[in-house]
Amino acid sequence: MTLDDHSLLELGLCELADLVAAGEVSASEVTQASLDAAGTAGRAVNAFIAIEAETALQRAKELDSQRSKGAALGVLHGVPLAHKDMFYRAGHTITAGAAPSRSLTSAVTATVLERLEFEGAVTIGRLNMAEFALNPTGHNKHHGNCRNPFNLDYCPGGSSSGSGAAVAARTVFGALGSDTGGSIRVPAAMCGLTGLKGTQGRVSRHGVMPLSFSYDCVGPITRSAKDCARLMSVIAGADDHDPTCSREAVSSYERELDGDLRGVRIGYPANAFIDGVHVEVQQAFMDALEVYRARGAIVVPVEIPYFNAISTYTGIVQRAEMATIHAQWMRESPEDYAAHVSSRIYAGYTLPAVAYIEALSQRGALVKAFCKEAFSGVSALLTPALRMTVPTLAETDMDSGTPETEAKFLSVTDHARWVNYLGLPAMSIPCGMDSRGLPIGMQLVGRPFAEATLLKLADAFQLDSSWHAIRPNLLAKHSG
Amino acid sequence: MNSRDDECVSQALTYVSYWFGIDPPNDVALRHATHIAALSRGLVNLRGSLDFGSEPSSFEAALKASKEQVTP
Repeated sequence: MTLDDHSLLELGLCELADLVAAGEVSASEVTQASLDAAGTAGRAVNAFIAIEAETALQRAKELDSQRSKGAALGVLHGVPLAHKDMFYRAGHTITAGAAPSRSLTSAVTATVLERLEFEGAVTIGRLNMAEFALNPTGHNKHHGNCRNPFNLDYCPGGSSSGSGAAVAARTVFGALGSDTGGSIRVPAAMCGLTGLKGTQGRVSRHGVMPLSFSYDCVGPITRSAKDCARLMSVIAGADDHDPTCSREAVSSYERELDGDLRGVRIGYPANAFIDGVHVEVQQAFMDALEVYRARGAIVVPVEIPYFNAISTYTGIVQRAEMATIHAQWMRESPEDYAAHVSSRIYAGYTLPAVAYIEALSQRGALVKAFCKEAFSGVSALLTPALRMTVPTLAETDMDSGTPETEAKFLSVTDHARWVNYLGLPAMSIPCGMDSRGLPIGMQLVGRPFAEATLLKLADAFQLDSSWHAIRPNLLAKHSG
Repeated sequence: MNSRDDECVSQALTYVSYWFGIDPPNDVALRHATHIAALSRGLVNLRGSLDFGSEPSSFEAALKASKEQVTP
């Protein structure tokens, strides 16, 4: 079998892993193709903060050698990946998307990086991201704005902006992001990708830059649910280095992707996520419900309970925690942050401690009550991922814009951030394209530890739709 | 924003400077600080509406208690 670079990079992650395992493609060959794409399409969208060609090619060579010696191969053997620049590697520097003067080093390597590489993944670089994971748009004054591969004037989403742009631009087969209020799901929605934020504690955060202790989650962004299942199966599960990581058993995510939705009940919100939703998003969402019905699912309206309480408490926890983490730098050199970052951090100091404790104290009881009511008759909830179509970078540039710009910027995560307060698993998957040729996404939300159910629902949708397979316009220029 | 909100925001800025040694880094930060008025109203509206409350450490247990029941 002979594949040119372009065809190689169009393969799904699982397909590629199978071909490498079968010896039909070498790790070196695909890593070189990936690095070449990172230097062209990846550069056009400014997805990479650092491309690590030498170490990636050396690693690929070692993996090819292992294979030729008949060594046991991991499920990601030879698969090129890259990750948001907030995962520590012992002795190396990361930027967290911040000013170079604030580069961070650590003596540890993130557990998630170790797990991916144990399974044979090749890391080709570190990806652009919002400064300290603090915007949902892709703006970055230190490393340059990241751009949407479907149209360079538009937001790629954030805060895992490079993860979305790099995967959509076919430079890598998957990427890790982090999600504190939508930072995996928003770039997945804006870039036409599949992104999964697991249950709070499902994936280790050891060696990962923190933003909000109570909300931070690490998860994969890929081109399909099947690929997402492969990466999640590798990174999920207990970690002795992270006491907040759950010891709940991890399901066999890929094995459960059988496409059978007969009798599965899916709820869509009857009383929330309706007002102000763009008409094209509404239409794509309604069409998606029909796809599920046609596959045998029972789709019913569901009242979203306690939404005022959840919305009120959601912002308090993140603001207070990120303000605590950034206090020293806010005292010493606030000018090193972009204005949209320091202003949001600053608001956290104004909150009374009692309000923060109240929000945390209600969290357990609220998630129990929410699940009891919202999931009493359905396996998952389905909402539009965003209330708007993908905005341009200009119309969400908080640092140079008006209060209206700021309002648009802040509303990007309206449909996403409440999930982090409840700690529930959620996915974003593509469900349409708007009239300007930008992707539209929808969000699946499940009970705690129901990642397998969400992946199954996402995969079944992708069996009957092709939104996830649409190539960005940018690629026509770079790969023909 | 009413006059009581203005007073609260003004006091909050003083409080932040006193407790944390941090001043508003820019005009946008001043605008964001005014969001506490809406937040305060949100908390006021919730008073008495939730008849449960426990301690923060109950959250992990609540996740386990609410997980999906898989049928064998």
